[in-house]
Amino acid sequence: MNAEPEASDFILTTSKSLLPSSFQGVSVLLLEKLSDDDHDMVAELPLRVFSLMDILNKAGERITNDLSAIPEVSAENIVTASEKTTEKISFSCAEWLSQRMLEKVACSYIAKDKGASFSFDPVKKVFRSNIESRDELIKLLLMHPVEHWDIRADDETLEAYEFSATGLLWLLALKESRYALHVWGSPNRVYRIKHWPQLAAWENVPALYKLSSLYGRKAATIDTGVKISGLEERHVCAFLHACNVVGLKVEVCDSETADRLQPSVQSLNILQALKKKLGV
Amino acid sequence: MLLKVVFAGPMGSGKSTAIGVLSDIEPVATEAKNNERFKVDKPTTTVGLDYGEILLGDAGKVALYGIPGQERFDFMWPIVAKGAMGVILLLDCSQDNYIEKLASFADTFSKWVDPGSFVVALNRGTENDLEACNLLVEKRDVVMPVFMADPREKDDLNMLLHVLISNAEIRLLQE
Repeated sequence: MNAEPEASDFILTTSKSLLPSSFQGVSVLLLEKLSDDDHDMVAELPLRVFSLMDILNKAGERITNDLSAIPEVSAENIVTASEKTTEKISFSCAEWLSQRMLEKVACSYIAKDKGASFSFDPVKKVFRSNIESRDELIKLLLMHPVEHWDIRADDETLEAYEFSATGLLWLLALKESRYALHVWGSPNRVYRIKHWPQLAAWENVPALYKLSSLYGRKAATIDTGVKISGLEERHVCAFLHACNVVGLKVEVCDSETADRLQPSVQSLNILQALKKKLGV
Repeated sequence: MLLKVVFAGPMGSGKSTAIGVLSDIEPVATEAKNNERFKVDKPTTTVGLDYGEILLGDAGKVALYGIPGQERFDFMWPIVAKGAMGVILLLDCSQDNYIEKLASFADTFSKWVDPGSFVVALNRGTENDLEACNLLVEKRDVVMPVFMADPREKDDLNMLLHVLISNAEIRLLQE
């Protein structure tokens, strides 16, 4: 069979056997049986298409490499299964908990299935839980709506594991990127943070240092944050959302401000070398 | 190419220690007998400069300067701070007047470096100390990075340098 779609450059051929190795093209072996005589279909593509595939393969490799270079915060791990499956764009668990903390009333919650429980102490600024891993607790909080948690009647502190409240809220908010995009993702608004997050203690990701520097130094749009950090828009929004939740005071400003200082371009190499030396 | 990072802070805040931890060369120190042991109880103190280097091969090096914390030496602060990539202010929260020291150093150094290049490192602090410092900084309508950091810990010091690098990169990228 010969097929000539839009130009004679493309010829699709089927045959009962593979072509000799000297043939300069691509053979695609299809495993589906086409007829009763049990022959395979082989698609032979001319060199031009073969080159195109090369280009596509190289592009694919570059995309893969680029993705692996993107900081951890934007990688798959930040988009949890719960975030994928439950569209929580109108509710933020981090904001809900943050509000409870601000009310300064200690409270204990237990899951409806009586498995997980947690409490928070707004004075000591800690969460306690019977879940050992902070990441697991965050997953549970993301997965279940507020209604899943009952207020526990007893005042006893049964939870064995303790986590910094700000650290937990920070990580929780970072994972609420869909909600963050919904709330913060306005292209025309410019933001500025009033305080730096405690990155080393909460989430030590290089891209977040850049965002902190950017929004700490000047009022900037989400788009500028995307360009500077290399993160997706929703993760930049999640950063601002996290800053807001832990009380770092995010201001909405009128316009993007200019820098006061302009360092030498020669600094770039030495900064890269220093980062390499520090392992960051 | 040479980068310069300045360590500032009151006497006993850990400047010499930090430079000792980071430096790839034997630090140059100008220690003398401490005549103010009623203020900080340690036998010696820096009276000139501490100096160390982070060596970066062909790319150059980072010069680490520790300036003496006593205000009678403040004449040398602008000289050393000139052209610095950043200043790291070390404060020991167990010292009574560390908040006043922060105010004083921040006001003085803000003449020579932009706020993002002035990093505050709190040693022996709590979250309440951190909040107090952030409030003080906020009242000055500037955004200065304030962290908990131990000058004996290389990871903590690396994090402070990382902040200075990020700040410098942002300026560079926005050219």
